[in-house]
Amino acid sequence: MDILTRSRTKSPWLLHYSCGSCNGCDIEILAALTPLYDVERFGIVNMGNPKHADVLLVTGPANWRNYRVLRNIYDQMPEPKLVVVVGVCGSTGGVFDKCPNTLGGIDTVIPVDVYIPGCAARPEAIIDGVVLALGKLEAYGT
Amino acid sequence: MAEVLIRLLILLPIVTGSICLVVRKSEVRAGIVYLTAIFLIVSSIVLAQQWSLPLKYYAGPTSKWIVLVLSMVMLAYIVFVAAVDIRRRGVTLHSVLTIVVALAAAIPVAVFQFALAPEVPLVANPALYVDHFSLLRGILISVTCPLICVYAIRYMKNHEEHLTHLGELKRTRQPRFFFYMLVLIGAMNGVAFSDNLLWLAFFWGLTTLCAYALIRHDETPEAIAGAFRTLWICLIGNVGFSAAIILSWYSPLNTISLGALVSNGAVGYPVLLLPFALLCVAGITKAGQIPFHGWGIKAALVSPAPVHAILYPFMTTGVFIVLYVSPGFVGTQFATFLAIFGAASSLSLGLIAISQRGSISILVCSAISNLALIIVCAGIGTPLALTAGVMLVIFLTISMILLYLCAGVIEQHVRSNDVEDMEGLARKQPLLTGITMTAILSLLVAPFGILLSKWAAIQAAAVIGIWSSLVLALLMLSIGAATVFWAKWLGRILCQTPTSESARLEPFVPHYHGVLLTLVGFAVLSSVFIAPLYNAAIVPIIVGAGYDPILAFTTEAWFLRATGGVFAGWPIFIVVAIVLLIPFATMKVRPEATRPAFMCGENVEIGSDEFVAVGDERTPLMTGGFYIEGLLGEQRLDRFVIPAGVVLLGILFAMVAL
Amino acid sequence: MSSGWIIASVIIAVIVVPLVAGLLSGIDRKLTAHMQGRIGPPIIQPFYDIIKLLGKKPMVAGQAQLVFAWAFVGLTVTAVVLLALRQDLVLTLLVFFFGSVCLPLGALSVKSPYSQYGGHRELLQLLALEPILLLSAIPVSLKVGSFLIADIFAHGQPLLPSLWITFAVLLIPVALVMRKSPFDIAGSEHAHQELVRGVLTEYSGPYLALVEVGHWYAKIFVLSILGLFWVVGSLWWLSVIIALGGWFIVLIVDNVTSRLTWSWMVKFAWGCGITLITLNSVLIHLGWM
Ligand code: SF4
Repeated sequence: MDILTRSRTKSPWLLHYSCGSCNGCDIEILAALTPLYDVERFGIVNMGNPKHADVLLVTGPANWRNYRVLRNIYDQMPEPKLVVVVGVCGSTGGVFDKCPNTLGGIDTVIPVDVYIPGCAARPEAIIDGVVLALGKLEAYGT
Repeated sequence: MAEVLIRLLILLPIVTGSICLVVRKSEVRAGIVYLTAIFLIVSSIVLAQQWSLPLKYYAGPTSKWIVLVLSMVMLAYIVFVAAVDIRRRGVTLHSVLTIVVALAAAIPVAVFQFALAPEVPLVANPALYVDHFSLLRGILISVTCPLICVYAIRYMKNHEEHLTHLGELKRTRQPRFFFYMLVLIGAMNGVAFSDNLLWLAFFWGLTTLCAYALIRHDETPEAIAGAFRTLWICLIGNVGFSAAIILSWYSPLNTISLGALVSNGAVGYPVLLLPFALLCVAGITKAGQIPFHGWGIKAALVSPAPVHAILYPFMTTGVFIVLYVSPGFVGTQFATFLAIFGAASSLSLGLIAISQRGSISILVCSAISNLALIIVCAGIGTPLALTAGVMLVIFLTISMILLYLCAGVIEQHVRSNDVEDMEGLARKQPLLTGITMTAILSLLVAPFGILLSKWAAIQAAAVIGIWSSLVLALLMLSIGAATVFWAKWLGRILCQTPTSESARLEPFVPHYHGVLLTLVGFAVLSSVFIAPLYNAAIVPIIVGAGYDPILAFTTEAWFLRATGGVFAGWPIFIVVAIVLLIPFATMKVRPEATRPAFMCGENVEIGSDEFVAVGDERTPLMTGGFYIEGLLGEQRLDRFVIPAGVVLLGILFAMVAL
Repeated sequence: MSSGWIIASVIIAVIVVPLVAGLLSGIDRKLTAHMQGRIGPPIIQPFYDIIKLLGKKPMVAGQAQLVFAWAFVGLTVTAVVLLALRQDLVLTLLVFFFGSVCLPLGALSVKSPYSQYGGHRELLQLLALEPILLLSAIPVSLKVGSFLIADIFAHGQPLLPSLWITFAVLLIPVALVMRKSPFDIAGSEHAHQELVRGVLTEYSGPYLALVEVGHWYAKIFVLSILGLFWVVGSLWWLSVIIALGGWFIVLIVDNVTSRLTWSWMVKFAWGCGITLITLNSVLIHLGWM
């Protein structure tokens, strides 16, 4: 693995965006970021700014109210970037499926790399999902 | 030849100014201004080659009466103006004070000369005495001020068109305007070259009168009030002069020659300390130092930009005198406290500047704050400090005038002088922004001349004993404050919404951009070539003051080497060119790489500064600067600054008495 | 100074400094993690971060932003080089300030709410930092008799015993430059998110890396100033220890305090810092220190 790819996989900075989830998965994400799990071991740092982030963690279903914001945030992330959907409602619509205000899964708005199942997804699963997504960076090249 | 030119530097602007007063056609007036400007600049260049200094010019015995009568007429005119104002607008504090101060300035000299001792041969001293320092000062005035006048030709035309459009102006006031501008140039040259205190006092008062007339140029109630405030405060200086004339005549020296007073000094003749202190107070009032800073800040709100630009050298006249006489009181306790006074004044105005929103107000505060540094240098009094002071006079004159003129162009463009309204100037006027940025940087960062001078002042202050700790602490704080208000302003004009369109240069206006670029050239070149400039222009001044220039700087590979440090200027200029100038000229931003600012995903589109707010409403983003008015507002700070200024002045006079 | 030595100093200043600074911030993160009962990232984590950022696609919000990022790095490197060449201390500091003011200027050149806020706060940090750093040169020069850093080396006596007050005050600018609590008001190093990332908000990818590297130089610059308080002959490691000691104190303070307001910061720096350094100078003048 060349040094650039290695650095990319060693330093994923996260951005968390909630599309209007029930907040269950949001809480689990924050749990995963607590010292208990110490994700900084993997170089993971939580960012508040898409311009600095490498991995976008999205919870909740895509919906008419804020798909525009989701797309804008995605556009503001510099390449290479990854999208990880946390929870079933973001993956497919989940419990919100067929609601008139939703569009379905996040992949109806932006491309998604990894889907983490669970309602809510467990912190361990979230960490695993992020690490799994990093594998895709090897294909990105320089 | 040189003597003729020196006299012409004083007289010619006064004569051509008077012609402007009667000329009705604006083209002819502009022509006269151009010719005067060319003459002044060319004769400055000729005089710069003049090495056989000092030049002395003795006036005949009748000249004493001419000057005396002129002074009395001038002061009577001031009283008359104030009386007219009282008739028109009723009794105001400022006009009453004007009358009181003018009488206080006139009566002692009148009694002394006409009644007590008419036989005193005051003309035994040279009327004009041109040494290297006064010549440098004269050249600075005669090069920069004509540029202001050239700029003003265009500026006043636009200004009056705007006022006529608003219906506030019936008949052009430009003849009067150029009259006072040109007379002010002549009078300032007169202050620079005069040696006889009687002449000096006359020119000193004449500059005040011109400044008064220029400030009230727009004839709004605020302008008139501001003008009277300026008038009485700056006339305090003439009271000081009158007292100084009498005191120094009755001193053992029996002279009213400034040069003789300075060369004899207060160490040998302690009685001279009081005249020196009075001259310093004259300088302090004119330079708008605490506790008199109110006139500068109030005047900043009311008059057109060229007036402010020329008020800068006017204020410098004040500190020039302080610096000029400083070798006379070096080594006294008075000098030490003068340094402390200057440092306190510098810090106070630096802090007030942080809370100012008007560009001219910021400039006035920073001008006073920087001029205070020259007073600090005068107080320190070592050869190095004198060098620092002279350098500050040179560099500040160029950069401050440049920035005042920039502020004027910006003001005409955005129709406001509020710094907040200048947001995004970088997009609309890239050239002007570049000029303004250079001007601000020349005041803000090393290795430009002003920071070089501050560096020299720090080096000089460090060795003057225990009080230096206080002076330096205040000095450093004022440098810190300057960073904030300059960077804040610069930040506002640079601030722009990310867009993929590239900006286009605005049309080149010779009267504006030509003058501004000339001054930018002066500012940059004088800073880069400071070593040869120092050797050519400043070393003779140090020698003239009776010091060994080795104690100031030696130049080695164009580095300035003081006893305690080395200023490696030009290598840093190369770095600045590489990291700032070249990237600005060459770096291009690819349109597809441009992204809008981060606004939590609520952006409307690229190139727009709106965001989607409540109810999907498109709402413009508004950004602004910090002004910290609660902590550093002028009113609030004045509660401390004015008493502090009064107390410090009191201490200064206590030092004289000791 | 021979020309060989000059070239060596410049190379050390330009190339070795960022390596050391990167490691130092790696150790910083590791130590902080341990203090919080975590394992923390590998020590070379900062280099991973920088290389990753350099490999990202450039994304910009305006030309001025980029130019000022360059200027920030270039001038900060120049300040470090001047320090390595043992030039005048005040001049070196002034150049350092020129670099430091470029960062907020870059931030203020973008019309972005967070960037503007961060830029203004950065200016307030400078307001607190500049006077202290500049003033600290005064007691040093009183002791050494000159502002030249070379003369501090030639002085032959450690400065710390007589200048410990100044040294203690200098920890304020060190904490400010390192963006540590209680002063971290402008850059939000530790994901204090009300500012997003303050001055850094609009920088991304390679330009963020650039600014970050400039920041490394700045850290080493202020730490080296601390190191100047104990330079005696060939015992250069003593000055390293002194600098690291200061760094460690700042680290501890960071972990036991929370961020305070800017007005507190400025008042503390001016009220306490300036007074104490002035006191130090006065004591030297009186011959008591
Ligand atoms: S997946 Fe379940 S727990 Fe998670 S946000 Fe959706 S509804 Fe809530």
